[in-house]
Amino acid sequence: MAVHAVEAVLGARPAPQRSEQDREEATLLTAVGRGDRDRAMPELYRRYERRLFGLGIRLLGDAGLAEELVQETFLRVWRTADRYDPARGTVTAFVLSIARRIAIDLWRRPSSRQVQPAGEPPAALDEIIDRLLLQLDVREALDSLPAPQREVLELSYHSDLTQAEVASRLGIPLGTVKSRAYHALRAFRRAVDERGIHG
Amino acid sequence: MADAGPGLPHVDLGGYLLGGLTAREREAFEAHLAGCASCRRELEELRGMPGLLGQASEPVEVPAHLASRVLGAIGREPPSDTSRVVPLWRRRRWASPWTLGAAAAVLIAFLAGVGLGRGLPGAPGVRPAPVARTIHLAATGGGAASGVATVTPRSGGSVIELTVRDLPPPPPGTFYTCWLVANDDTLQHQDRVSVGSFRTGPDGAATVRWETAADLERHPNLGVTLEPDNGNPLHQGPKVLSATA
Repeated sequence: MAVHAVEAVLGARPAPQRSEQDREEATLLTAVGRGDRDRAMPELYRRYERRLFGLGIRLLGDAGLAEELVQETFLRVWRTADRYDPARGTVTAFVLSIARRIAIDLWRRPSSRQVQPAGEPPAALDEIIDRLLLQLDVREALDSLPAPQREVLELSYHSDLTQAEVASRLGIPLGTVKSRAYHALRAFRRAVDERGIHG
Repeated sequence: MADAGPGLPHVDLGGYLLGGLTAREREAFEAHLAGCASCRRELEELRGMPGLLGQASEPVEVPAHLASRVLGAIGREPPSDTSRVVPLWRRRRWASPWTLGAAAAVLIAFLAGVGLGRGLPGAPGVRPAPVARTIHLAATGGGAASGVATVTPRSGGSVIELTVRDLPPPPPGTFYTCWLVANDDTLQHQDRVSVGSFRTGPDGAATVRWETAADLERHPNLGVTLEPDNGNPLHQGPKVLSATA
């Protein structure tokens, strides 16, 4: 039986600590603020593209609107980067605060209505965006694992297979599955910690 | 079957958390757990992970062309030293010592309904000829502060020149920001572009000039607010100056 304790995990989130990733991104955004669009901006873009497009496609239900969300967000990042102060917050908070506002604008746009559910409660929309961003962050953490570890985690969690059955399915020894399951959970824990998802 | 190796927990700890043990394996592991403090600690550390796994979104496939589209759009933006908000340490040079004295207390206002992009000649789909527009600004609260903004369309954007007077120097830790604002902008759902920020001198005056790539049809209104210098690019502070007509 899997242990489902996400509520406890999320409820116990401590104040985020600056990770190496935060520091790197602060350096990148500072360089963007000085006008570096050839090296720093593409690297910063690479780090957020998937999350922002994922937010757009899930919130707005349309690839064109999702692309618009990514483009508008990064244009505003470019135009406001020199106001970023690393001492006052992470780059993630900076970028996502911009993306959130644009996403809500796009959601409200009349031409977006055809792909939206009825009603428009702003508080609920904020909660929906929070949840989508969490899901995308977790996906990113999972995707950062080496493929063999990710494979064991996903197969173990999303199916009712025993470890012996997972071993058989993957064609690897049972001992390898057991060892890999533990190390994959450890790596996953590190990956979510780095993203501030879990303390 | 016990520890997986030196420094490692029991071999079935991962399988226990992921629900992959047989009933027999689970009983054996739980019996081990009762007497193994380090496995209990490890279990506690990883207990939330399976639940998080269930939160993961489906994999996201990003269109291959998106990066070149977005980075290409950024590449067409004006150079950074003219397109964006001027940092405070550079903004001060714009503060002009000319004229005028003391200031009213807090001046709050906003420029509503000044359609910079409205009423320009030209058929739909035809870009209007560049026409400079002059906007007179006043303190919303009825104070003495005032200003004049001139907006001149240029290729790829506009030049905005703003002169203010009788606007008291912003309190420490704050500065004034000039915005271009969409018609449906609200504090909760902001749709505005920061044109630039400035401080006034002791005489309450300043003259500033910016270039902006903002779309004036989407953001036709112009206003000035007082903003905290906290690194947050969003509008947070009170409105200070708005259009008089």
